Amino acid sequence: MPIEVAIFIEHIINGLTLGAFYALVTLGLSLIFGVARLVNFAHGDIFMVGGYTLFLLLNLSGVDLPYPLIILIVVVITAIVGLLVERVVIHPILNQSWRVQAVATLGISIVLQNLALILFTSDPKQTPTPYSRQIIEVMDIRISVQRLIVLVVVIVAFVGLQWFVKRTQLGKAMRAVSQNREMCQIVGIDVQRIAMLTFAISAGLAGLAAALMAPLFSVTPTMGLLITLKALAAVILGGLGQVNGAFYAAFLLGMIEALFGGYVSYQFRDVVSFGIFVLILFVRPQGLFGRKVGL
Amino acid sequence: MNRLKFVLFVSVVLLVVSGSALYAQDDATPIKIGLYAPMTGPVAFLGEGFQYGATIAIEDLGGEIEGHPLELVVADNKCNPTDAVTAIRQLIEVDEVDVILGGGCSSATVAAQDVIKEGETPAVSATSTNPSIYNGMGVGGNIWQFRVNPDDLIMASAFASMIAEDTQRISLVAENTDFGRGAITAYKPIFEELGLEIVTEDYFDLGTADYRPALTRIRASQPDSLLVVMTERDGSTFMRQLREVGVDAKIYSRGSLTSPLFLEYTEDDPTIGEGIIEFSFWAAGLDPEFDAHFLERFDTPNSPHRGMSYYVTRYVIGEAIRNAILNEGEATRQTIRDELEATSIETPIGLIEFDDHNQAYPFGTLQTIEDGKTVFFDTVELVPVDHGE
Repeated sequence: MPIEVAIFIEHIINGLTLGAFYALVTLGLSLIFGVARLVNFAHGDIFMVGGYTLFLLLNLSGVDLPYPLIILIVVVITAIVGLLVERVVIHPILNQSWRVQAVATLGISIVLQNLALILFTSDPKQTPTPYSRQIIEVMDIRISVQRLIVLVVVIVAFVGLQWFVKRTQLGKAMRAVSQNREMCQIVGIDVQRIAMLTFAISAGLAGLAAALMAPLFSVTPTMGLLITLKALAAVILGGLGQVNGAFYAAFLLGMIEALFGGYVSYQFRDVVSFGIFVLILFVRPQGLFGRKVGL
Repeated sequence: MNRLKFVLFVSVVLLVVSGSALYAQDDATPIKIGLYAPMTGPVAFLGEGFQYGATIAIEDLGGEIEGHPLELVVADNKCNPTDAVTAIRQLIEVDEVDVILGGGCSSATVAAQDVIKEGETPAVSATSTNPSIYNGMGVGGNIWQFRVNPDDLIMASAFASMIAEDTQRISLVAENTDFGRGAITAYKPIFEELGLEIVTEDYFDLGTADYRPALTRIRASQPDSLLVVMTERDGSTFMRQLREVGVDAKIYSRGSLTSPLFLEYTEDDPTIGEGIIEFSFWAAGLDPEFDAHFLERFDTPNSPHRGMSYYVTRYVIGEAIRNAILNEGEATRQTIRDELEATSIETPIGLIEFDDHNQAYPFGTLQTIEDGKTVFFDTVELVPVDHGE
């Protein structure tokens, strides 16, 4: 295979794994916005909580848990954290203005980051798994098994989420709440409970992202900051409240960054990806997959 | 008469007692050392390291100098210019510190220069390597700023030619900060002058998670060597992914990619840093006794910012305070500054004396990672270089 083709394929793989990372975080953020009409600025910090949970589980003295079980525990713990956050902070302000909600979620973000700083210090923590060091080399393309796992799990998670919201009663209730909250209340759907469960699922997805991606990077108190911004961009680009749209937009964002960063300049990749983001919104203010609403 | 004598005696006793009480009070006046460093944000580990270094230095000084207790006051500059100005103002105007250590990263130190000058408070940099700071210090106008560590232009004059010995094609990689950019600005023209071809040049924001797109491009460019300007945190993630992508080139570094802290961040795979050659002004092994003392005190290894914070606080600032008290009667901002200017002290990092730009020239150090361990192998004499206008 010519070297140029191999490099191109490697850039595509880079884009897919980066997109998969963004997509996992974006799914949860989009879900919350769809159901609760709330932008959760602390979503990246739940991701960070997942990273530290993974670190603790991997370093439990005398216990050697299998990686799939560790992933499951991280998802459950972050879902519980999401549930607690919803009960303590979000629930009382769910019907307040967006400004109150924004300040509240930013507050959660600051509290979680500083808690992590106190508990774990600012030193980055490494969370290697047996797969993060296993490298597959095919036709001059080298990739860790961990990245391939990320790709596969993201697709499974997306298909699973699709099935969940379309086929289960809870999923249907979530869709209904996202379409018309008042009508749901009239027909007896417990909107507060749906919002609470949505938070737990969303946090669980952030935990899943952390359990899969942290072994490739490192865990720090501020690891959720940048990813929150990227995920927010994907949510808006995909169309507010459009979970599928946000998922595809996350991959688009990852692909743009990988190709531009790979072929042109890494330092300007954010400028370009956000520039394209602004351009798309200029042409389609409702996002790529959102519907136009007339007054 | 007796009554008069008694009154006089009592008056004298009262005067002596109150006088000595006043003297004692003066003796006990604490001396405040301000530390501005990134305590939160993406490089909070640097600020934490500075605090460790200054804390252990004060402990080793016995917590006081000539009867004056030492007090460490910390302000968070987040390693960004805006917060650096706020932090330095807080230290100078609100906390009224006597001398300042910091700022822990070049972006903060560059931004704080005007406030330090305006606030007429002596400040000593321990690790900020951006060359642009040099021209403003001392005869450049800001007599209050001193720098113990050499900057990247001074180090580049020695290191670039070493790199050129086995390199024709080089990739430049740096963090997107005044530290990273300052270093590349210093090295690039020297490399070009030495005839090296710069095949890629990349800057990464602090906390970047995925370096693969740039690493794929770097690998395709087939450089002989990479110059990586990063600290341990981002550097450990970068090197991990560099090994994953399979970049086959020699790694030279500026920052802290061979420190014991880097090894701690990569302990799951000690081969990650194997063979990196780093030029710095601190190396593990230069002062093994202190390395062990640090590890015992904080249960975490020494590193450039931790060690440099210690040496600057203990030897440079500590001696300036002592000399101010002994030679000039009191340690004020002015007397500490004057004594800093006159500094001449042998330290484990070399002889510290300041030139007319308030710049010192400690050793340059060369170290590598061999068999998963930091190996310090040489010191290099650093000399003044032309910093231009």
